[in-house]
Amino acid sequence: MRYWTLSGILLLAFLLQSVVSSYLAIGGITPDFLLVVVVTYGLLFGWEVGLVGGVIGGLLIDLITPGFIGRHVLSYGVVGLVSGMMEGRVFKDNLLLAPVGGLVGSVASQMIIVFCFWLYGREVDPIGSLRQTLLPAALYDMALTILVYNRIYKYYLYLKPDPRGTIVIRRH
Amino acid sequence: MPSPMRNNKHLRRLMAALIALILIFAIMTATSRDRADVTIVEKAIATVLYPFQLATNYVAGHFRGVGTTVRELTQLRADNASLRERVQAAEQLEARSQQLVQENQTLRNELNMKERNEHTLLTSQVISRTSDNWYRSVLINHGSRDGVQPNMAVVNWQGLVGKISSVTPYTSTVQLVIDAGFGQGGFGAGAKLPLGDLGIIDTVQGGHVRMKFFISEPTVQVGQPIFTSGQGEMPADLLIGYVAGMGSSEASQEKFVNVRPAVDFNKLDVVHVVLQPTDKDRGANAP
Repeated sequence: MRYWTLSGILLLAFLLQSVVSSYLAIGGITPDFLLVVVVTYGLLFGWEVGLVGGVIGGLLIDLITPGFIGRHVLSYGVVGLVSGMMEGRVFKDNLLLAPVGGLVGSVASQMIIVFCFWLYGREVDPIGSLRQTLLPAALYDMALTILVYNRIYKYYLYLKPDPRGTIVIRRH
Repeated sequence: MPSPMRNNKHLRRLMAALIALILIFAIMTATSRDRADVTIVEKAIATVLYPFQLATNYVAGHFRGVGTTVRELTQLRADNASLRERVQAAEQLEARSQQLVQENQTLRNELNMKERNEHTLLTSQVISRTSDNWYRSVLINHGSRDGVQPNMAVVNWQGLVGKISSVTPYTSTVQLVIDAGFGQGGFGAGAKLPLGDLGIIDTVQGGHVRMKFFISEPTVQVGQPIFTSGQGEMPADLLIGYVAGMGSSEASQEKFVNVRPAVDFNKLDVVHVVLQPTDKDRGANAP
């Protein structure tokens, strides 16, 4: 596994998330680049990569956003872990994998964050949050996951070379 | 003889996950209270990101400028006609205003009140917005090196924008009025109505700004302006918003008013940090 490249992609997602995402906001909802990358890592490379990517990405984003530290570590970590556990059970080239993964991952991640808010006494209006934040953000993340997943899947064999080596077919 | 736990891979993983979970919740508990001081790691990351944010803001500003110009040109004619009417109305209002200022001055002199000093403002540019959909805050290009401190009020020409929630050497995070945590932390945002009814601003997740009252039957009318009372951290007489309607909590039967913020939070480019609120600001002007 090319861990340096995977780390680079994660760092790029963090930069996009922290610097660019606010300019891509639609109706006040920003895309979650890191979550999308974490879901993709889990679905393509398994639970270890998903979990570690989620924890590192979550920690980075927790350190630059207001509020208490740890909520993104928990939500991204869980999403990375669970999507990674699906890795062996799904076909990676299934067209529905990316949108379903992105949608479920985003909803799950935000539910965990709302749970953390509830736990630490931050008042949440359930209906308002569902309509104004959770659902629009999940749809945005779903669309973004389709783009990111397909882009990374294109380089799957480069990122995770077959340990038995590759067969090169030459035409004469 | 090796312990059974050593051989049991699943049990070890479960223990590691449990310890990690406990650690995460411990960190969340430790940082869940109002945190004005940021850690060294947070300061370092903010400082590293600062040039990227400046560059992105510069590029985005140009693109936004082009788009805005094209959009605005199409509305220019209608706006022009509307503005002419408003200028006429404003002239009449100005005349009335001058009359009121004189009257006010006379009354102040009679009451032997001191002239209210202007706030010392630090004009700052918004360089980024939070990338978290659950928090409403912006990043400005002035930090502790410029004298900005946590809990200072931030305003623009429309009214109260928010307060400084954390400060790094070059940047500061402004917690907007529409952020759910805005009213938390004691009397974070004391508010008052023109007739003197006092209360506090309490924002609920989802951007609903509410004003809760200290008395049970406040005198409220839809459209009334709401100002900071000066009680708590904010200076007095900053316009927060307008009464949008009455509401009550089903659980506690507590009455409150829904507030329509005075500031358009989608168009925040330039804001002013109110530096060093004086003692006079803190409640002296509260009715």
